[in-house]
Amino acid sequence: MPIVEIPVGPQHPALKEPIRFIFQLDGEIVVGAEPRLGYAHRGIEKLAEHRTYVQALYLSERICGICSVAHTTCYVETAERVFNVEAPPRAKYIRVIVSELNRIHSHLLWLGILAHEVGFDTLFMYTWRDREMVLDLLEMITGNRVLYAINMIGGVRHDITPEMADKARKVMDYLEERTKYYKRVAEEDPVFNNRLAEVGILSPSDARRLCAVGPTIRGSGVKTDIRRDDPYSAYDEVPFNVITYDEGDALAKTLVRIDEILESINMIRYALDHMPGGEISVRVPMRPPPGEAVGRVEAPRGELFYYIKSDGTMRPYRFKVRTPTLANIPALCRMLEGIFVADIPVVVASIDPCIACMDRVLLIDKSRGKKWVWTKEELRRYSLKWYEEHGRR
Amino acid sequence: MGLIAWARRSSPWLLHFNSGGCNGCDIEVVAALCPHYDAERFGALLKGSPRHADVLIVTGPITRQVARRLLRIYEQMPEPRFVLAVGSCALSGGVFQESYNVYEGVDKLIPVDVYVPGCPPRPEAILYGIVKLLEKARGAKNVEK
Amino acid sequence: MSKSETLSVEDAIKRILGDHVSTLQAVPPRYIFLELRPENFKYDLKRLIDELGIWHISTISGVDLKDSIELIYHLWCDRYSVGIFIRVKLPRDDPKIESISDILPGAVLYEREVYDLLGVRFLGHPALERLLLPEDWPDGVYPLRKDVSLEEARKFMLGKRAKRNADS
Repeated sequence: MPIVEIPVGPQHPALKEPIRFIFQLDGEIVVGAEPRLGYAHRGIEKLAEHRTYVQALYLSERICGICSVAHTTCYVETAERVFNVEAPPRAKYIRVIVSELNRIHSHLLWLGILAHEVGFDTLFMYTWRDREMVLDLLEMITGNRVLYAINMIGGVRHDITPEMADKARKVMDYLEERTKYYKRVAEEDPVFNNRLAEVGILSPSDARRLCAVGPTIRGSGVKTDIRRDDPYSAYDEVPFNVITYDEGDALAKTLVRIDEILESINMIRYALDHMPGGEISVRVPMRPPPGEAVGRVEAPRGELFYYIKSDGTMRPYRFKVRTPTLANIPALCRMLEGIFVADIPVVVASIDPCIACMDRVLLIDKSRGKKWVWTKEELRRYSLKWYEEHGRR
Repeated sequence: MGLIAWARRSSPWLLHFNSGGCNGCDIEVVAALCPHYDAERFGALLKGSPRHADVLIVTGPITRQVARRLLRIYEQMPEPRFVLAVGSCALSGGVFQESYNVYEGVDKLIPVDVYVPGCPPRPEAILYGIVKLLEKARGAKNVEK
Repeated sequence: MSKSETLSVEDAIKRILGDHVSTLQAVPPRYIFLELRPENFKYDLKRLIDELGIWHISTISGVDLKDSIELIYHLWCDRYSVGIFIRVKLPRDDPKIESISDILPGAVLYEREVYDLLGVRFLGHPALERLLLPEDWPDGVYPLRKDVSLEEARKFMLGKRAKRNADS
C-alpha cells in the first residue's frame, strides 16, 4: 500500500506553539509524524526586551491563559534572583496555594477535553462544572477568573484571609469527593478504558531520551518533578508525593493527572493550615544589577523554563521562555508512530497541548492526487464511528 | 426570507477561531457555552466548519502566520456573516502591540460587528456580546456597539 | 542540596574536563554555569553527559552579546540534583557549532529554534529548518539579534495586503 501523507492543523493555534502535523500513513497506521510550529508565534521574547521588568510580567502571564500562574511564578522567581530579593514566607505560601489551584483547574479542564475527544460529553460537562468552583475560589482570592495577576516581583498582591481559607477548605472537600469519582470513572468505565488503555505508549527509555516533561514522562514511570527536584516558592516545606504510573499509555497519563489533583488538594489544605504570618511583599528597586538567572517551575503540563539576562537597565537584555508543550513534542511524535488514525485525537490530547491544536485536518491521498479538508470535529466523529464499527482491537 | 431570518436569530451557529492568543479567552468562550453559563439558551451552538457558521468568534491577536487563514475562513462563511471580536488582543493587539508578528486588531483584516473587551472577558460579557449580535442580526435600530 | 554536594559536582566536572573549562561559577543552591570552547565542544559535552549520567536538556538559549553570540545549554543532572548550564561563545558574523541532537535527541527542536531566531547553524542537524517564523519571513533576518529593531522587524511583517487593509 502506498504511503499517504496527511497534514493536520493548525487551525486551532493555542499557546506559544500551536502545531501542525504532517502524518505519513500506511493504510490506517501512522508511520511517521512531523511537526510544524509557529502559528501563534507572537514574538514575546523580542517584545519583552522592549518592556520594563514590571511590564514583562504581564506579558509573561499572557503566554498561556491556562497555566498563567505557572508563568508568572516562574517569571517572578527568576526576576527575584536577578534583583537579589526574596519574597516573604507568607507570599511563598500564597504562591503555592494559587499555583496548586491553577493546577487543579488546568487538569480538570484537560480531563473534560479528553472526555470530549473520546465521545464522553457527559464527563466533559461534569468536569467543566466542577472547574467553575475552582475558578470562583481563584476569583475570590485574586479578583480574576483566568489571568490572576497575583504575583509581583518581591511578593504577591493579595492576602488570603481566614474566611477565604474556610471557603477554600469546603471547596477542597467537595472536589476531593468529585475527583475520586472521576478516578473511578477513568479506571472502570468501558468507554474510557477502551479508548485510552494501550494507546500511544511511551516507553521510559524513550521518555528520557526525548526529554519529555511533566505528566507525560511521569506516566511512563520516570519519577521527576521540578517541585521536588528543584523546589521553588514554599515547595520545599509542603509535603507531597510525586505520582508516577508505569504503563506509559494514555490511560496512565490520565491517572497521573487525576492523582495529581488529589495531591494538590492535600497540598492546599496543608498550606492553608501552615501559612506563616507577616508581610506579603517587599519593595524592589527599579533597576536590577547586571547578571543573569534561570528559573524552573512545574507547570500543569511539565517543566517551564525561564532565563533572564540583565544589563543593569530597566529592561531585560534577554528573556527566554521554554514552555512544556514544546519539550513534549518530540515524545509526542514518537507516541504517534504506529497508532491508528482514529487514535490521533486521544494521543495528541494525552500530552495536554493546551487544547489540541487540530481544528482542521487536510487529507492528501498522494496516489490519487486527491485532497480534502477535515475539521477537528470531523476527525473526532470519524474516530468515534471507526471505534463503533471496529470495536476493541 | 422571514423564516430564514427568524431561524438565524433564534439559533446562531458559532465558529470559534483562535488567531494565536493565549487560550484565556478561548476557555472563557467554551465556559460560556458550558452548562454553568449556558449560551445554548439563546440557541447558540458551536460548529466546526466555517461553511455551517453564521457567527465567527475571533480570540487572540492575529499573528502573521494565521492572518491568511483567518481571511480564508471568513471568505468561506455564507452571507450574511457576523464577526464577534473577543478580548483585548482581538480588539487592538493587547499586550502584544508593536510585536513583529502580530496585527493590531481583527478589524485590520475583516469587518467586526461586536467588540467584547476584557483580558479575558468574563463569560457573562461574551453572552452579552452574543445577545447584542442577535439584536443586530434582527435589524434593531439602536444597537450600541 | 547542601553546599558540599555542589562542591563535589564542581570537582567532578573539573576532573572530567580538566583545563577545557574556562570559567566555572556556582550559583547556590543548585545551579552551575561553566564555559567551554567551541572547538572541542561536542567531545567535551559528550564526556560530561556520559560521566555524570545526564539525560535531560531543558533548552538552549541564545543571546546576542553584540560582539559574539552566546549559547547556553541548560542541562539537568539527576545524580547530583544540579542544573549545569554550559556557555559557548560563537563569532557573530558566521555562528556555527556542531549539533548535539545525536547525543541528546531532545535538543532537536531547541536547535531549530535558535537557528530560526538567531541564525546559528548547527552542523550535522537532521533537519535544520524554520521552526517559528512564518514561511515568507525574509532569509538572513533574525529577530532576536540586537541590530534588528522592533520597528524594523515590524516592517517585514506588514506585507502588501495587510498594508492595504490597514490604510483603507
